[in-house]
Amino acid sequence: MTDLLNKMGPHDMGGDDAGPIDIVDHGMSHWEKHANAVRMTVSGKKLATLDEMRRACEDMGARYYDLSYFERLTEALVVVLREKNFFTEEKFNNQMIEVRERFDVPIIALPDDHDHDGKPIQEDETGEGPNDHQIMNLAIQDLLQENNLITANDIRKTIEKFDEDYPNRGQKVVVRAWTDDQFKSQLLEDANLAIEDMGIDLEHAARIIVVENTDTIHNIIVCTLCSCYPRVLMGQPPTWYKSRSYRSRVVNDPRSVLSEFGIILPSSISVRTHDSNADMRYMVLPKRPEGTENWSHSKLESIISRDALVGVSIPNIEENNREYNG
Amino acid sequence: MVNSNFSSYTPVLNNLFSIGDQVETYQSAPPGHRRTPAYIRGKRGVIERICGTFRNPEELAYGFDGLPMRVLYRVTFKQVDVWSDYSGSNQDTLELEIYEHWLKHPS
Repeated sequence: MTDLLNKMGPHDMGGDDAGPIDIVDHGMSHWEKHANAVRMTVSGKKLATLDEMRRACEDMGARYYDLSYFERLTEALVVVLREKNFFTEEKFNNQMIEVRERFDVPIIALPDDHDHDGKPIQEDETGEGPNDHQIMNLAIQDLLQENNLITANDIRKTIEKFDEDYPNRGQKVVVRAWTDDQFKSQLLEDANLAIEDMGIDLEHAARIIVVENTDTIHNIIVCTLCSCYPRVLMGQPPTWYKSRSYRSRVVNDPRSVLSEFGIILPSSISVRTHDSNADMRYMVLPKRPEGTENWSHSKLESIISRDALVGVSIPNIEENNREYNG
Repeated sequence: MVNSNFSSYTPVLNNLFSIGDQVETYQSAPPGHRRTPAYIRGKRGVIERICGTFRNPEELAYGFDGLPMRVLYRVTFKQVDVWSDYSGSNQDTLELEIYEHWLKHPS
């Protein structure tokens, strides 16, 4: 076990004892997508660095565990933007009040026979209006827009990219590597160059390392200190990737973590655990299953789950892999 | 076709360690934002690759410019060297990114 005296704080959880992993990806609600877009836009425009936001999260002490992932990031963003004098505490609090008033409208009961062509009405939220952290993000957005530092369009575009552009890029890269040996060598040597050569814009957002699964090596990716993940290549990380159990346990007990995801590996296959703890981001290149020799690219893509690119699933021709759903 | 003369990795001119070198991480606990997790401090590994030079995240975290740039290495550790009670295979490894100022030649 780790010497507790050395621990930097609650975020430094590699090797901690923790319970089983909830392996279902619970996706993101709209306010979380908005919170993420505000954060990515702020860092993309270099108004604040992700390093500053991480540090502000780490400084929360025990509160780190009281907050959900996006609640934590939201509060950290407010701290950093105030430190950098983008707004004062008073100005921010007043803006929160103004945003809250905007939502202060009477709730109208829908008539009983109201339906959407027979489809169930989907409520994204509880129906009780925006939560405090959503209001914080809207207030941040307002104040930065007021100073022409960001636009509503920046936020909208970022949400769209995370929903539509980023999620399925990794699968395309894998299929290209499965079908083009020269590309594969380039990918393993210098992933950014190879991927951008395919016409995928990585937006200078990350240095990517691709690690290859072989007959004797299985790779698995984690970020113990926060939740670093190749977002421009794979979209948002799944809920479990950000969980305390996954982050704590993969580094010292990867085989039992893998078994919770349904993968039992013989000892003849060595497990390489990659902690994405600094500036590089990782994607696993899974092994191409036998029996797929004449498959089309789109059919090959269909058996590569997002989880396989993190190393907790193995492409398989017998069963349909879970579809990525954001 | 990719131009193999160009690399997306920032060229490194004065790296203290080379690929294959045995290294040891510093066993220290300075306060502040650090990118070397507690569990890997004071452990021995081997340089797997040189990732390039980056602005120092430990300075960026406090609003400074992070200069001078720091060399970042990918270091491979044997699981059994990191956790005395590791229950998997002796061949299992852990790989982390460690900044040069966190590394020394094994004592």
